[in-house]
Amino acid sequence: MKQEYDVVVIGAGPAGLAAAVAASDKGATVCLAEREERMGGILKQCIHDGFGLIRFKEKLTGPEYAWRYENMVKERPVDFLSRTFLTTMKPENGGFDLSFVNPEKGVFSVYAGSLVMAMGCRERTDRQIFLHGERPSGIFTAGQAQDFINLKGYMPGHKCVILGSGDIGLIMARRLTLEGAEVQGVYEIGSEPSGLTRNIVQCLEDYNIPLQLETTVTEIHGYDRLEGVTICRVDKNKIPRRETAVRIDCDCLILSVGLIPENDILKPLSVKMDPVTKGPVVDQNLETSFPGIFSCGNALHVNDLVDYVSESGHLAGERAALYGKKKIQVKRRITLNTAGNIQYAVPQNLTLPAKGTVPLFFRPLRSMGKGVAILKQGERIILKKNLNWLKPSEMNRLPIDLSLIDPDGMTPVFSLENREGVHA
Amino acid sequence: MFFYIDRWYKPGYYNLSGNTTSLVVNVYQEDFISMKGQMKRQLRAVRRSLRNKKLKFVQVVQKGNSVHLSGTADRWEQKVNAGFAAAHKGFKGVVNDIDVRGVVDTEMRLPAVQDSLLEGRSFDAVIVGGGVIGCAVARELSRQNITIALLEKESDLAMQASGRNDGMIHPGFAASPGTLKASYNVRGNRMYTKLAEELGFELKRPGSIILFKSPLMNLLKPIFRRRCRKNGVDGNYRGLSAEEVRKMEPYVTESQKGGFFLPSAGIVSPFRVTIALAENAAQNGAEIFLNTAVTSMDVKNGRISRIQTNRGSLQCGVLINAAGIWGDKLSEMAGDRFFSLHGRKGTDAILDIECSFYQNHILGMPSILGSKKNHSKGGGLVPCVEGNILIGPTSEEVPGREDYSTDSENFRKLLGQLSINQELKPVHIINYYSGVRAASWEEDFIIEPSGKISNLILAAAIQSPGLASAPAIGEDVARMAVESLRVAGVKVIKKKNFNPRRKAIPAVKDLSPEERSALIRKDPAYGEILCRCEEVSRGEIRDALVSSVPASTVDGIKRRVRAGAGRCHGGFCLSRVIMVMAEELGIPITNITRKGGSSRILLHETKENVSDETGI
Amino acid sequence: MHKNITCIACPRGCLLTVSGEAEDLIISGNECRKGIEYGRQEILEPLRMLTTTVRTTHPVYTRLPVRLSREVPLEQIPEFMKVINQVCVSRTCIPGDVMAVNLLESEVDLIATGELYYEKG
Ligand SMILES: Cc1cc2nc3c(=O)[nH]c(=O)nc-3n(C[C@H](O)[C@H](O)[C@H](O)COP(=O)(O)OP(=O)(O)OC[C@H]3O[C@@H](n4cnc5c(N)ncnc54)[C@H](O)[C@@H]3O)c2cc1C
Ligand SMILES: Cc1cc2nc3c(=O)[nH]c(=O)nc-3n(C[C@H](O)[C@H](O)[C@H](O)COP(=O)(O)OP(=O)(O)OC[C@H]3O[C@@H](n4cnc5c(N)ncnc54)[C@H](O)[C@@H]3O)c2cc1C
Ligand code: SF4
Repeated sequence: MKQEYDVVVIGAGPAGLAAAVAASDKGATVCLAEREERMGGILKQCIHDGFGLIRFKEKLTGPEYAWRYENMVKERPVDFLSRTFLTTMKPENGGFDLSFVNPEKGVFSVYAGSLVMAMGCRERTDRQIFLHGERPSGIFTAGQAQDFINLKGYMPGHKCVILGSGDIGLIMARRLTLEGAEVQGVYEIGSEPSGLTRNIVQCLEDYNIPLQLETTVTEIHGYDRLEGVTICRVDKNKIPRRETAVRIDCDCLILSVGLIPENDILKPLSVKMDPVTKGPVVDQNLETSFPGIFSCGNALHVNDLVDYVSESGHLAGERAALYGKKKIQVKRRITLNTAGNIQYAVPQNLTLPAKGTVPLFFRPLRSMGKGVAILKQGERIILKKNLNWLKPSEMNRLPIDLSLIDPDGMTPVFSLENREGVHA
Repeated sequence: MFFYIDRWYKPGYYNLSGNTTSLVVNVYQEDFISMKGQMKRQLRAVRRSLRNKKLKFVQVVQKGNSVHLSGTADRWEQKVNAGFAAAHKGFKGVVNDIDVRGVVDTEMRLPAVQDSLLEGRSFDAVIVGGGVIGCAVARELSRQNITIALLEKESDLAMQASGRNDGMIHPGFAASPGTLKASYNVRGNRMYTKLAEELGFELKRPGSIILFKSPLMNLLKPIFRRRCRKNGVDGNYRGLSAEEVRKMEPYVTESQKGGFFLPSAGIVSPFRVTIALAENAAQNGAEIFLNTAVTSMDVKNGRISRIQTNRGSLQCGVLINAAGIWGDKLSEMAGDRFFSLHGRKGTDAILDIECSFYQNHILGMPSILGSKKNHSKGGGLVPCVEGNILIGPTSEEVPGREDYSTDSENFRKLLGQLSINQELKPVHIINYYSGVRAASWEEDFIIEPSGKISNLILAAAIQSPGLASAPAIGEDVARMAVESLRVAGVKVIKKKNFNPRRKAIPAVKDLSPEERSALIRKDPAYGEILCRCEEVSRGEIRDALVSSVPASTVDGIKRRVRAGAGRCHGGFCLSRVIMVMAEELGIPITNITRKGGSSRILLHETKENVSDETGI
Repeated sequence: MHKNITCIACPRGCLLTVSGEAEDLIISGNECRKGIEYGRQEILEPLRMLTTTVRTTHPVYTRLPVRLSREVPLEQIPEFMKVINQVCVSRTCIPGDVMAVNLLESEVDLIATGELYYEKG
C-alpha cells in the first residue's frame, strides 16, 4: 500500500526542516525523507558559531541551530524517514510517485501531492578546477575535512595548504590549527577573498595564517601521499605565471573552491535550471518550472547564512502545502530580469497576480561601495533602496511587495547601479 | 622455435650471453653465412635510417637477433626517433639503450611489504602481471589441472595500463593487416560476447563511427572496406553520408563530412573485466598475490629455475611475462633481452553522466588518417558502459614508465576533442587520468615463447588494442604455456570441474524494484546507500571487500562497485566508505589507504596525544 | 604602538590603524563610530568564542561538539584547547548541557552543542 502525503520534503538539512515545519503548520500531511541517519544536514559538522543571528537573535553553532529545528519538527505530526534515499520521481495524478530505498523497507513508493527539494549542495572538487600533477592521497574538500575532524575525529593532515578562500576553507584553517596541524597558507586565485571578512579576521589573522590572493596551486607532488604543491601567482586572466612558481611542502591540500546545488534528480523532469545559480528557476513561491515541485536552501542557490536557508525552507514548505490545496491561482508567469551589477537574483520568475511581501535574494557581480537597488516595471519604479558595501561573497536580501507589480504590465527589471556621483 | 645466432655452433647447450645457457638447434652453416650477410645489410639499413634522421650520435651494434642502440641524446624525442628509425629493418627487436641528458631511468616502484609468504613455494605456472593480459592468461590456464600463481606488484589488479584506458573493444580496423594486433584484436573482440556473459561484466556494442573531416575522405571508403575485409572485422561495416551520421548522432559536430561505421566496436569497464577474469581464475584454483613484485630470476640450463620476489623466492614450471610496461625488464631478468619498451602516455577525461543523453556511438575524428607519426590511435569520444562519456586518449612519449600525472598542456589538447560533439563542454568533466602504453619500437605485440629460455612465454608490448585482444591473447599464451609444461614432462589435463561462470557483485541500482526489495529483505545492507552519486549500497561495498580477489583500498572499492566514481568524486562518500572498510576489515581507519603503500587517508585521531582523561 | 586591523563590525571591513597607548588609543580608518569600539576592544583584549569537540565513549558518534559558556581572551584559546582535549564524555546529553565547569579557573564552563544518546543500562 502506497503512503500518501500532501507534501514530501527531500533532505532534512535546515531548509528541509523548515519546510516540513511550515507545511505541517499549514495543515498538510508531511513526510520528511533524509538519506542520513540524523537530521541537520551539513550543520551537523559546522560546529563553529555564527548561525541564527537573524532567526534566533543569537549566535548559535551549527548543531545547536539544527537542534532547534529538529525539535520543531518532532513536535509536529511529520513522518521522518531516516536513512532513506530518493531514487526516482515520476509525475502521477497531479502529484508525484516517489521511489525510495532504505534498509528497513527496501524499495517503496510514496505519493506526494507536492514536493520540496532541499537536498543541499556538493563541493567542487580538484577535478572541477582542473588541478594537475600526480595523484596522491591527502587532497580533500573543506567539507570532507570538516566531516573527518569534527564528526569522525580524525586528522586528514599535519601540514596543510588551503586552496580557495571560501568560508568553509577559512573555518577549516582555524579548526586544523586548533587541533594541532600547521596551516601553511590560504591561496586564492581571485583578487578578493571569497569568504566573509569576519572569517578572514577570526580564522586567519588570529592564527597568523597567511592569505595570498591572485595565487593558485598548479601542480600536485607525491605518488602515494601528498608531499607538496607548486603554487604560482596568476595574471589578470587568471593564467599562472610560471616564473613565480614555488614549491611548498605539505601533506594535505584542502579545497574550498565553491559549492554546486544538488539537483540531479530534477534532470529527468526537464526542470528549468538557472545557469548562474546552478539551481532551478523558481517564482516567488519557490516553485520550479515543474508545477508542484518547490526548491529551497542550498539546492536552490548557495547561501552563506543559514537564516536565509531556513527562510526559504519556510516559504517553500508553506507554498507546497497550499499547492496541495490548489490555492495558488496562476494567471501569468513572467521572468524577473536583472541588469547592472547583478550576478543573480532569486526568484528568477514571478507568478502574477500576487499579494504579500517576499524576499528577493541577490548577489552583486562585483564589489560595490555605494549602490542603489532598483526594481522597475517599464518606467515605473516599484522599489528603490540605497545599499552600501556590497560584495559577491555576501548575499543580500530585499523584501518586495508583490501587490505593487502590475500583472498585465511589462517585464520587471531588477538592477543594481552605482549611486550617482559616488564611486566605490 | 627459431632464432638467430652470430657464430656457428654445433647443436647442444652453450653459454651464449654471459650467465645464460641456451639450446642451439640445428642451424646449418650455409644458412648462418647467408644470415650473417643479411644482418650486415640490416645494420647498414639502421645506420642509414639514423643518419637520415640526423641522429649520428647513436651507436649501433647487433646482439643476437636484435639491434642495440646506445649513445647520449639531448632530448627524449631523439631517443624516441632513434628507436623508431631502427625498427622494421629486419631485426627481431630493437633494444634502445640511449641515455638522455638529465633524464634518469625510471626504477620500478616496489611494494613496501617484505615477508616470506612465497618462500619455497612452487607452481606449475607463474604469471607476472595482474593486468588484463595476465588475468586473461590466468583464467585460461585455470581450465587445466595445474597450480597457478599470478604475481602483481601493485596493491590491486589493473593498477597500470589495464585500469587506465578507454575501455574500448576495438573492431580491429585500425591495426595494419598482417600484424598480431590486427588478428588478436578481431578474435578478441568476437570472444568478448561470451566472456561478458560468463563473467557477468557489462559489455555494450554501440559501434564506432570514424568521422571524416573533409569530403575527400569519402573516397577512402572502399579502402576502409578492403581493410576491414582483410582484417576480418565483424559486422555490417559501412560508409555513412553526413546526413546518416547526423541521424545516428544528432549532436555531432557540424564539420563532419560523413564517416565510416564499425558496428562491432564495443565498450567495457577495463578494470572490472580484469578483476572478473582474475576472480574467475581464483574460483578455479589460481592463486593471486598482490603487493608481490618479481625482482630477479635465476636461470640454469636455459630455464628459469627460481624467481625472487619481495615475499620470498619460488619456483615455476613456466613463467608468463605479462608485466606490461616492465615486460622488457622482466625478459632481461630472464636473460632474454631482445626488445625494449618505451612509455607512451595517454590522458583521458570522464564527463558527467548527465551527458550520456548526447551521444550513442563511439566517435573519433582523426586529423590525418594513417599518419605514420602518431603511433597510437587518435582518440575520440567513448560512451562508457556506465553511461559517462569519456574523451581521449592523448598520446605523448614519456620517460616515466609509471608516470600517471596529468598536465595542463596535454589536457588542453584533450579538450580539443570535445568539439566532436556540440553539447559537450569542459564543465561536464568530473575526472581525468593518465595511463602509459607499453610500446615496443616495432609497434606490434610480442606473443611467443622465448627463443632462449625454454620456460618463458612472452605477452609483451601489449599496447592498444590490448584490452580488446586480451581474451584471444589469453587463450594463445595459455596454450603456449601448457605446451612448454608438456615438453618439460608435466602432465597437463583439462579440469572437469572448471566453472567458467563468476557471480558478480549485484549492482542494486540496476535491479528491478522487486529484486532490489527482496535483496534488501535478505540483507538490509543493500538498502543503505553510502555513495549518493552512484547509488552504491553498503552491501555492495562489503561484497567487494570479501570477493575472491578482494578490494583492500579505497580505489579498489571504487573500481569494483563505483563508490566515489561519480560527480562529487567521493566528497560525500569517502568518509562513509572508509568507515565501512575499517569495520568490515577489522582494522583501524587510519590504516585505510587510497591505493596501497603509504597513501593513507587519515593520519591519526584528533586529541590523540592527550593522556590523562577527565571522565564526564 | 601601531597596528592595522580589519573592522568586522559591518560588511564594509574598514582597515583600521590603531596607535597610541592603552589609555588613549588613536583609531583611524574607520568609516563610522562602531569602528572605534571594535578597534579598542580588539587592541586591549580581543575576545573569541571557542568551539571544538570532545571525545566520547559512544561507539558511533565518537566526538561531541562543544563551546564555551562565553567568549574568552584570544590568547587563552590554546590553553582552553588543552584542557578541553582531555574531556571524554560518556553520558547522554543535549545542546546546552554543561559538560565541565570552571575551566582554567576562569568561571567559564564547557557547553555541549550537540546531542548524544546512550541506551540506559
Ligand atoms: C561547510 C559549510 C559551512 C557553512 N558555514 C556557515 C556559517 O558559518 N554560518 C552560516 O550562517 N551559514 C553557513 N553555511 C551555510 C548554511 O549553513 C548552509 O547553506 C545550510 O546548511 C544549507 O542547508 P540546506 O538544508 O540547504 O542543505 P544541507 O544542510 O546540505 O542539507 C541537505 C540534506 O539533504 C539530504 N539529501 C540530499 N539528497 C538526498 C536524497 N536524494 N534523498 C534524501 N536525502 C537527501 C542530505 O543528506 C542533507 O542532510 C555553511 C555551509 C556549508 C556547506
Ligand atoms: C590511455 C590508454 C588508452 C587505451 N585505450 C585502450 C582501448 O580503448 N582499448 C584497448 O583495447 N586497449 C587500450 N589501451 C591499451 C590497453 O590498456 C593495454 O594494452 C592493456 O591494458 C595491457 O594490459 P597488460 O596486462 O599487458 O598491462 P598492464 O595492465 O600494465 O599490466 C601489467 C602489470 O604487471 C605488473 N608488473 C610489472 N612488473 C612486475 C613485476 N616485476 N612483478 C610483479 N608485477 C609486475 C604491473 O604492476 C601491472 O599491473 C589503452 C592504453 C592507454 C594507456
Ligand atoms: S568602521 Fe564602521 S563602517 Fe567601517 S567596517 Fe567598522 S563598522 Fe563598518
